[in-house]
Amino acid sequence: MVELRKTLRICMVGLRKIIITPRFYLAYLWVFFDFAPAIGAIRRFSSSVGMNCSPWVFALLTEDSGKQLFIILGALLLFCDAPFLHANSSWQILRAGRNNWFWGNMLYIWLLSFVYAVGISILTVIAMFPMVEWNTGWGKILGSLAQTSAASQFGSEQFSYAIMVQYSPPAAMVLTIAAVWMNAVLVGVCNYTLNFYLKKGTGNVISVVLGLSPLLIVRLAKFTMGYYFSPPLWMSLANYKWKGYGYGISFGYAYGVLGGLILICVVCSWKGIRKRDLDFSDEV
Amino acid sequence: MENMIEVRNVTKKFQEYKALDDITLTFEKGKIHGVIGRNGSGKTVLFKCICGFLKVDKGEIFIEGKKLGRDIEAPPDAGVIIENPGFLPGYNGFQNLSFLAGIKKKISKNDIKGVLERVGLDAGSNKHVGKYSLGMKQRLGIAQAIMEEPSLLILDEPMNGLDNQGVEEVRMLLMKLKEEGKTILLASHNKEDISVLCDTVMEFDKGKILEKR
Repeated sequence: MVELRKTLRICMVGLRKIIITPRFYLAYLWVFFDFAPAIGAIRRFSSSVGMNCSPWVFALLTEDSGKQLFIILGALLLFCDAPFLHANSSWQILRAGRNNWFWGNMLYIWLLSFVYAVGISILTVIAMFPMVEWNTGWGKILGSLAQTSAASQFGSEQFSYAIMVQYSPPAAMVLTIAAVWMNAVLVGVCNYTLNFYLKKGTGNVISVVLGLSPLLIVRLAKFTMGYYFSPPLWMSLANYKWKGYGYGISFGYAYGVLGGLILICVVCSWKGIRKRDLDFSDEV
Repeated sequence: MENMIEVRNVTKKFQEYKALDDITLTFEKGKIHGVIGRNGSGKTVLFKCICGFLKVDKGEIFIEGKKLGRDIEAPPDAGVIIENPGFLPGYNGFQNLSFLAGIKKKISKNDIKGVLERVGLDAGSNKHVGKYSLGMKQRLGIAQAIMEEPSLLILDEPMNGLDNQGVEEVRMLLMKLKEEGKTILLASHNKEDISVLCDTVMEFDKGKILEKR
């Protein structure tokens, strides 16, 4: 039986461990460097027209497959040491038991992924300072960058007007953060399972392939069916059907597949942790 | 005397290599049991099997009559040092012990400070473990093992990295713990440690018990 208190404690030890490692900050820095040129272009446009931008840019930035790759690789930086079998873990397992320790790790993956998804969305707002102001709508700056040639003049990306028409900004933010969160969890549990069962680093390689999949599908192959097989593409609201109309995947499909893949990884790794030898290695 | 641990016909293989080959032994309660042998002789593998980190291929291990893997996942009341002590380098010794103690919640902050002083470390120091010497880490490892006052201690080379004074202090500490009724399994390369401290000695070679005395 799982003891909730021990599970929470294991999760907390994991979080305390990660926040003092350079990897945690490197993950944000990594994503920030990728987002910086696009945000810089918005700031230049904002200052040239003398208007501030609304804080919803994150929901539009994730449309680019290059940024999807960087988000996945950022998550990989956080979870590259899964299944977290370090020398310190042996003492945790002795105190908590294998079962509680495993569920503590799963909780850690979910919580850290959430912090990561929310963190990078906040980062886009911080990077806009001081050219940012509260606005419940998309605002004129983002609207202009989606509908006019201002984007190309200021070196910005052409944002999806379809997203602006179909979703309110808070809804778009929540849905985008949820998709980034689920993708980060997938990277975490995929690394956990594959690094545990196979040679260490296998999960990391698969995560890189996962991150590269949008680029391969969108930029190289232009393989429309591929949208159904690349979870990182689901971080962009532009790739979904809207109210059952148009092309693309549905939310039900995306979250069903993501949930299913995560569940498969969790069940496999749970069986492994319970039955197999635990091989402790050095800290990453 | 009652047995703390009973190992029955245990075999542990890594592919074709037998790290433990049909081992049967018992460790009585309240004694210090020495386990000696060359590197790769099977000492650490035996300890890892007793801790439940490694699953045995054949045989059974009982801890106070409870079968490992069936009745219990791991020894319920054990303090362990196996191989290098692994602490979070960005936190001080007290914080490291607090994180681990928080899992069971059996002891207070004052108990943690007390155990740090018992192993010769400054409980009030803010020095991060990453800046500790090997000897200090080893002392902290011992503190981690004994802090919840477990009835069973499994110590694999606990004197590693300690200076002469440190070795002497740890020997005294182990003797005191034995007087308190703890059962201690001690693996060491140092024959003096074994001869001074241990009530029984087992020598391992190539996964088998070469000698018991």
